[in-house]
Amino acid sequence: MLTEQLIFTALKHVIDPEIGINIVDLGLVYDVKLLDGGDVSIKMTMTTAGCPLHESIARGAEDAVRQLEGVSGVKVDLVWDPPWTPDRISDWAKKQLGWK
Amino acid sequence: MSTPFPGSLSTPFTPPFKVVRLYFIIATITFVFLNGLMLLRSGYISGFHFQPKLLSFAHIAVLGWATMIIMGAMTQLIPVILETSLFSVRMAKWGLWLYIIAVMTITGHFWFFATKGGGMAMAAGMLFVAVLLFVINVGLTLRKVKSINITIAHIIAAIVYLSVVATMGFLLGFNLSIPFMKGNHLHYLSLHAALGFAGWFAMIIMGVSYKLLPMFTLSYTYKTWPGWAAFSFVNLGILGIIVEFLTNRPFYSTVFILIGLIMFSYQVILIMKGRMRKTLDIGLRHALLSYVYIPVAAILGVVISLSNMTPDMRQRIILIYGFTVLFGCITLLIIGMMYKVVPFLVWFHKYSDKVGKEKVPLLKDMFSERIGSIQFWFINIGVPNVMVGLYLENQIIVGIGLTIMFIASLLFGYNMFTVFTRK
Repeated sequence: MLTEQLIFTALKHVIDPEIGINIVDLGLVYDVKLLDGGDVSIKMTMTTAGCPLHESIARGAEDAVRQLEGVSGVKVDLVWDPPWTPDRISDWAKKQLGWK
Repeated sequence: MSTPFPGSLSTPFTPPFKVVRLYFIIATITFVFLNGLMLLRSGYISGFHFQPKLLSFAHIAVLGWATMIIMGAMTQLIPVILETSLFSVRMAKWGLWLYIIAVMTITGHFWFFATKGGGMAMAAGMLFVAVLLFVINVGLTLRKVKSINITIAHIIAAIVYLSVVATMGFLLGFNLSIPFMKGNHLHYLSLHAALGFAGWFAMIIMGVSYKLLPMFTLSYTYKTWPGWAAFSFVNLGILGIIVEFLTNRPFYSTVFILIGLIMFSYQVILIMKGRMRKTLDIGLRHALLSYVYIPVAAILGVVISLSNMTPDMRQRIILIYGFTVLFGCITLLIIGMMYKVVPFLVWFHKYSDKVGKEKVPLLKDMFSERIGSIQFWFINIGVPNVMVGLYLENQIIVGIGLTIMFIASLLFGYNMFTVFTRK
């Protein structure tokens, strides 16, 4: 059964190729909503405005979720407010980045 | 505190991948060739700096390797920074071919010191036109700039200095074929070299570092005044070099440049302190090592300009200074940035459409990090080895250092080959 948790799990397969960490643990995904009829709305951001990976990561998030069973449509909103801050990085990801 | 420097590398505004790729491939081949040539002809790296083979080595390094990479990087980066299209992709493409022919011609003429028959003047003229095409292309792209940030300020300054250096180079090349300059040729040559190092290369290194270093280290909150102070001091120093040239009176220009480069180092420290990515990858390790060499080179510059030395010692220090700038400061930064930028460009070209659909490689998977690490240590040992050898005037030590550097260049070339040929 399609759940928001399942969508987050799918988004964990979208990895920033420079940093090597998935977009969920980087804190780039602000909100995921499962709507009626299997539509999914994702609100996300990037670490830097004007990032070259905007397009490929946003499209990657859309494709990753679209592959889930029960999903009929996916809408990805790229937002800059509130801006991303390092506080949003998960503890696991911080360790990956070399934080002790 | 502010968050001014981070940005990105590739947008819909960037020129075609195959155009930018050409700059990087040809420059990498030149780098391996240069290291091989220096090793085979290591005996020429000694004595007085104004001699054919050294002029040839220096111009292969600054034109065929460093400036070629910077041209490619700027062709890619400036449209990204300005969020606008390059003025002319065609000009970049054809300008590059003219540039390659010009660099081969002029370095060949230096090698054989073929000053008769006007060939040197023709080569210098061709090179001047090729550089001018690049300057016009970048200048007309920069015209679209809406606000000047620290990186843009450095790039504008660098482009102005490049124009002056290229003009002087043309006149000097012409003068070797058909003498017309009054006074000592070497007097003009010293200004040409000083503006090239402190103007063109230093401005580019500083400006690009302010853009790329925060982006690659995820550094967002730091003071930026040291960067602007560095810009002011280095430019004051360059102004001093010109005053010294015109008046023959000391202006302590190298001291101003040293202060500026210390401020630059301080800015780098602030950026690195605020970084989120604590682990340093192979690209950043190269870049940081180059930042260590920058104040070393600046101190050597002060020593050359202000201290009283025997002519023999002075000549040795000049050689060490030139080698440090070319291979410690510039080459290490270029290698470091190439380990970041080239995999990204290839990745973006090949895999950006596949994210989320299938497993795609990380940028660090695009080349061998192990080979990169070995190469890092080889160059780390090779550069100081040559510096010591030059100081001691010991050709065996210089030869060992150049052998190590040649191996490093082969390893680097292999890694870049792996990236470019990735299926």
